Amino acid sequence: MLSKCDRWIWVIVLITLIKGLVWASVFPLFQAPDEEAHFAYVQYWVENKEMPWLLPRDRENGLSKQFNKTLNYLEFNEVKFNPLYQQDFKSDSIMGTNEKEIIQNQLDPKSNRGYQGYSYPPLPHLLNMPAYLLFRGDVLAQAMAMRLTSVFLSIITMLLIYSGLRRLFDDQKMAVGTTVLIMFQPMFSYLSSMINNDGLMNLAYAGFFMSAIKIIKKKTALTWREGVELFLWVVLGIASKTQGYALLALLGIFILMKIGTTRKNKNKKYFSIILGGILITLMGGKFLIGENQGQFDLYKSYFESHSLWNMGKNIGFYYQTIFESFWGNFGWLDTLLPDSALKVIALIIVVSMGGLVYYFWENKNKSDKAMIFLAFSGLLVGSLYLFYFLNEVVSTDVLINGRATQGRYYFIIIFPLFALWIKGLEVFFKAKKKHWLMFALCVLMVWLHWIALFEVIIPRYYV
Amino acid sequence: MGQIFRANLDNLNKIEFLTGYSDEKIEGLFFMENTQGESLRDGAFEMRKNKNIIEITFEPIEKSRDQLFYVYLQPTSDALGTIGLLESGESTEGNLRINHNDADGDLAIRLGYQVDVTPAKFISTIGQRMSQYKPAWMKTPYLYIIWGLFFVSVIKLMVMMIEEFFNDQPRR
Repeated sequence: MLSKCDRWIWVIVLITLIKGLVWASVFPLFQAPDEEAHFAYVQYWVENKEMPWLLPRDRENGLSKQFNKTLNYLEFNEVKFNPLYQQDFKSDSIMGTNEKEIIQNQLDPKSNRGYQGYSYPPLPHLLNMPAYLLFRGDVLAQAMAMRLTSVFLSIITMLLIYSGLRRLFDDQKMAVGTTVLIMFQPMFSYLSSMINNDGLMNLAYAGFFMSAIKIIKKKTALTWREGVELFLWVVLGIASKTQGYALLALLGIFILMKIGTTRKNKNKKYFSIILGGILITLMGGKFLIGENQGQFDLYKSYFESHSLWNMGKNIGFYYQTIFESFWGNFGWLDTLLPDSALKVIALIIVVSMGGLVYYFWENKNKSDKAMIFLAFSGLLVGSLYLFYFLNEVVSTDVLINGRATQGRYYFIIIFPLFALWIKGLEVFFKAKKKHWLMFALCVLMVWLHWIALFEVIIPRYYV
Repeated sequence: MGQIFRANLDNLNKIEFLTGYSDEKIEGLFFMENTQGESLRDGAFEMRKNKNIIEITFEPIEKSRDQLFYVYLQPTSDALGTIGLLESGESTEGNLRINHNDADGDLAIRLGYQVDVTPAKFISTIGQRMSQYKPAWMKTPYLYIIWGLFFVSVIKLMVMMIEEFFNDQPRR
């Protein structure tokens, strides 16, 4: 008989797998952010036996003729840019109108007219090669198999998240409930089932937080082995996507927080201070100075005609966009959740934040280092985007911000965000009926999941 | 801003318009006529700011199949300029597509119909469409198996959570 702990691991594995298959099946192929770019990257690498390394002059010149023709048959641009447009379905067959032509389209996939490379780190694409090779000759099967690669990565991510939450929360039920919440977050489910490099990056961050919580809870000095463990997650993150660099700053924060446990070992203490300081300064400098280098004149001319209030309003709107896109907006035109759902979620988060502030205030002398570290992590990632936004406001002063619409970039801190929200709610409701609360939240999240699938996605693409 | 279109089915009851993003709320009136200029339906619409689809619904027009209609929108708020734009990288001025056929007009629209179908027929149609442009192992009946397992597993998860969360007795 499986122990209680083992039982939930199997549940997480099974449901993440089946849910991933559902999301992979419901979205038309290549209709997720940059899916076609990632597919083209893998195709170029395999067929030409070299990594793509130059940016194409335009999208069509960067794709193989075979893939470009496939996208045309799939009405890729029409469906992507027009939320009222659907693929041309046959009413009496499970084969699409142009599906035979796609399968018979055996144009040489080596026939690129240009190169396809968006400066993606190569590791996630290396992991997609088996899927590409296994179904060589069938582009639809290759793409779907790559989606399943993302699903398998998401299973590992969920297990790492669950493991971290088990260590964080003394109550196993809270860990299970928080895992279920993350598992059914609609945008997270969506992105976990598409061809991208977010999957591997999210896995790296989840692993980092799991290891960090484990080490913090031990309350002993950081060992070299533990340092290497954390560093390996950082390397994996950087090798996955450029946002992986923020792990360096998180590592810096972590090292500084562990200084208290290395008091007796002076060498370790000074090394920690120097290394932690360097990492944080490096990343802070990269974003603050790097993003705003040479922009002083822009700031000067901006404030000649705008006030600080104007700037604050624009930035506030960008963060509102991040919130909407984290929960339900998948980029260019559509949304997974209606506005009313977003308002309910916002209210819950505000309540939770109140509880969290109270918790940190009440416990300022007791120092819950794990929660403090998670809070710092959230603040760090949130403030990194602030540097992008400042630059955007002074140089363009527009409301629609491309980066802010990519709420998926915040999935790197999905672990700390949900852990903090749940802690805040637990404190706010005084924890007496916390299991009721957790169950109610899980029911709400599953219901939002349902809304996304049945009231938004299926009508959008198939009704 | 008006649009002539031909309905494909009977019981036309909804039209969605794709516009550019508006940073203001847009309100207005809509009017629908037949080709003889006779008024068929009218009403009010609104589109919240930062959205880009205007949806109008009305009583179904029973015999709408293959009929030509003319619908136009009359905004009453100040943001007049944003309706009529198609958010697309391609130029669509004077070249609108409805259900894959070219039509004249400036507005991108999608039509909705009140169709009575049984749940089984609805599921079958969705399954058939979802199967298209997918590899063989993602077509029906595998789709039905995946989705069926999904429903069952979510219900099972909820049951397990109820047992776990509200039962303080230790498991044997």
